Amino acid sequence: MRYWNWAHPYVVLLTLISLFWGGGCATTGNVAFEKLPKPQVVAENGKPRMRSGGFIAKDLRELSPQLKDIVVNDRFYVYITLEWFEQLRGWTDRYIGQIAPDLGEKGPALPGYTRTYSMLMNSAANFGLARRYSVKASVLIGLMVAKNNKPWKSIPGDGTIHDYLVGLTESGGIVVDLETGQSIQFVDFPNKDSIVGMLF
Amino acid sequence: MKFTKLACLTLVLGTVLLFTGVEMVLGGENDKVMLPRLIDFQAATDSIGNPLRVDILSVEKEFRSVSPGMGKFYYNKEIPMIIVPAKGWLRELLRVSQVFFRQENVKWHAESWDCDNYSMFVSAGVTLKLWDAGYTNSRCGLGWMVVDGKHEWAGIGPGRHALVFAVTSEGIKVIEPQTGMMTALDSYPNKEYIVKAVLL
Repeated sequence: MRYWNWAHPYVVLLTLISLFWGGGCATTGNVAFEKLPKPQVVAENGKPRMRSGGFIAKDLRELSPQLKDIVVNDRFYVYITLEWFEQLRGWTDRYIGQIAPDLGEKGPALPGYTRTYSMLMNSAANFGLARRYSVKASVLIGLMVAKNNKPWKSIPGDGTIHDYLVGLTESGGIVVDLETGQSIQFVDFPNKDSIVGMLF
Repeated sequence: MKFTKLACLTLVLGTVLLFTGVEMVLGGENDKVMLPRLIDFQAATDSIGNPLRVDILSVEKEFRSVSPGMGKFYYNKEIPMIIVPAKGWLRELLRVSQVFFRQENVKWHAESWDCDNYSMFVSAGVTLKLWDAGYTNSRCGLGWMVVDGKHEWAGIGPGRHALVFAVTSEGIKVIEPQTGMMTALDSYPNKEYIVKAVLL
């Protein structure tokens, strides 16, 4: 303690600087969120399995010849595991629950809910992918708008326009209804011949 | 000797405090990530103090007046009137977005995290804040658009690019989400080359 004097002006100054430095980082008005789930991309011959956006649009038009309005934002898309897709859905649900806690269970019935949800989940997936891997492709998560001409489980075939969440997973395209939580492979979707538009 | 001991102690103290702060910001424990807190949504108000709403078709009209060759304008037909965000809140949104991108070291990454992801993320986040503020049956006047740019703007060179746009009480503003730069649609150098606009 011979050389240490807490009352020394330099000590006081440096201690204050340290306190403000560390304290400042801790009190910047942040809010805690759960970390994104670790990306799970399907591999093929040691590389991420992917398909060009143009070919995906062509596939979709073959399956749904009436579908004209497809907005494809990226050139290539990776196939992801169904497990990661479900983990991302869970993360997105909890994120929305934290940002807008009053929405509760009525959220999915709001106009535009699936549209916002798909953009958010798309952002979360691609953010997670870009942070961890150097792959020049995007995760296909987006929005599908279809006319419900035929019933699908609890959704009536009443001809109404309905929004669905879509994704490209290891087993192909997947369609999810956020209001009921039910999902189905795209090829088995009963209203695939009355899809109005897609955006991903 | 005296200075060395003082410097060492200060360095240790400063490092401990700094890392305590950084851990809280980056979420070193509890598997959390810290994001900057955005203030509650604030709408612009009309002459009698009610939230200012505009007809979605007038937004499309404004786009087409400067960009007659624009392709499709995508919007939600269920929501014909959108809420205009307050200017101060919009500035705060851009500030917080920049803090987030900097803090999380979010950088442009070809395909997986590029302009459309930045734009979707900001657009979806705004809708969540709008819902949280109680406007659950509406949509904020903030969307994204794609341009086939011919001129450099906000540090982004010519080429296809996605940007955010905001409907304000002073007309449409164009925003580069990667930098937070904003200008009036009328002054945007690539206004004639808008390919499509999305306000879902």
